[in-house]
Amino acid sequence: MTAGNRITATSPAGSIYDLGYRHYEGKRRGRGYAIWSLYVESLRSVWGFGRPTRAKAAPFIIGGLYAFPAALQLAFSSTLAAQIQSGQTLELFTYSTYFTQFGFFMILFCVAQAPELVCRDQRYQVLPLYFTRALSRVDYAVAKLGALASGLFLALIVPMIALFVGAVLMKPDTLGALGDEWPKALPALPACLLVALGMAAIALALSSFSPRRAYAAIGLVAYFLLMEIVPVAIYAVGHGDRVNWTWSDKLLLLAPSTTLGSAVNWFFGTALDPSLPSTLGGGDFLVAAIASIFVFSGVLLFRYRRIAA
Amino acid sequence: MNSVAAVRDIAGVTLRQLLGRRRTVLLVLLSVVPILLAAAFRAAGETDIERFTRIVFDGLYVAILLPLVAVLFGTGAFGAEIEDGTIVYLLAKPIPRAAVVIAKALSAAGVAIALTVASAGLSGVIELLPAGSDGQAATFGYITAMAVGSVCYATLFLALSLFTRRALVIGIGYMLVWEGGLSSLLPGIANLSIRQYSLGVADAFIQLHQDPARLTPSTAMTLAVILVVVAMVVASWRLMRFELPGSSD
Repeated sequence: MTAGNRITATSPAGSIYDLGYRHYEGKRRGRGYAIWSLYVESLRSVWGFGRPTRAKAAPFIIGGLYAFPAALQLAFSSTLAAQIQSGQTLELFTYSTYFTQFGFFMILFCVAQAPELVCRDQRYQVLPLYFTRALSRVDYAVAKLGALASGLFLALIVPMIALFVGAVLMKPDTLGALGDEWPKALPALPACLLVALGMAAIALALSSFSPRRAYAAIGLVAYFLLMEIVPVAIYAVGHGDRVNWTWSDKLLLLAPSTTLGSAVNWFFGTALDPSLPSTLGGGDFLVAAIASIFVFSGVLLFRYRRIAA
Repeated sequence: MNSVAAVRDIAGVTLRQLLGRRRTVLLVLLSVVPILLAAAFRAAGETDIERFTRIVFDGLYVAILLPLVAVLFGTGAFGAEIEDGTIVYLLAKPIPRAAVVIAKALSAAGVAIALTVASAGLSGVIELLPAGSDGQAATFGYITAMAVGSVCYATLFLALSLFTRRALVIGIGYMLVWEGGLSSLLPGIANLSIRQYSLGVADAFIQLHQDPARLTPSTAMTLAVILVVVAMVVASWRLMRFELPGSSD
């Protein structure tokens, strides 16, 4: 930049460079607004809005498949109710076990959408354009993490709503059922929030290490699947006839889906999967889930502090 | 340039593309995980061939490592060139499109076989060879399964990558939803599952008491060959009508 160019953005909030050709007198919305804008645009792109139809296919198909069993239960709730008659509840899917049963769709959702959010900006080398303006590196990472977590939260909450509506419609007394049902359904909100944050932190932290979506996707699916099966396998052999590795049950706290699914049980106060070791309670999994959110968010921030831009 | 030389050259270039530094590191790390698990089984003094085969060979190799590696290489063979736009230079050469497809498939399947077979072989040596002839049979069975599965996944998703840019995500979805979720619910789709083809082939060497395989070795092999031939024909056909990226996007 030559000496004739003046940078007149002296206000701390804005950084619109005045190159001397055309002046800007308008409002400077500043850093907070820049973060909000990046968050909104990223959230839209998680669901493919503002992009061609092809980009909407993956999130909507996967999100739809995840909600499909719950929607099915909703659709047949009146039939189920007629069959029961005596007023007892019949629930095929419950709030507390839904994620454990169908969580693999959400893994697929992360695999498809997390690399979309962070890989392109690295591949097309547009990060400098973000970082030279009002946004700092940390702001960028936080906005992207918030966007993916919000996008996941929407996908997670839809089947919960469907289950809720289905459970209410199944009862003859709708208003009474509403009052009975909502305390049971309410823990779904913090539970979905935890799962969304947990999956988003892992998915973005791992994706941010590769500019290519393909590698990021493979890395993600490998992490989610291998970290699931390896601790279970080591626990299985560690409790055989020959050895007793007392530490091997702690490894299960590293398994991402198991940990999130069991932490969900803690919110509802329901029993854990009986195949899990009895030495671990729902609270342990909750702590592990929160710890993993912090660790992977830290990894993500570290990556963006160091990334060449 | 005759076709054989062209196949050799394209395969060589593709190999170099597929074995980029970071990707190789990622995949070697991935294939080391099951070997470490085999070492853990050994350290625990586990001698039950059946258990090891079910958890490590079936649960880890056939269900996760094999599809991941083979789908990545299969979609990467054309995918990287389409994304970078260098496929223009390949298609502008007077080489039969079928030869291009064969070259790409050979290198993709070859790398996938090398990686999965080496990893499965090492795990087998660590844990199963001390277990005697049954252990040997299981190791050979699953090495063969790795080879057959690699060729099937690589060619199928190589063909798909010529139709959509999201072939990799579709491949992972196929592996998670179709083979992981649905095929345990609906036994009928074993006929349309590469995982079952691989397990079926392994059945020629060793049969477990609670066998995950649903197809006989001969059926599995026949279906696998049909799949590979159809995928190659479709890929060649598609490449003949291929629209260069940027013209319609």
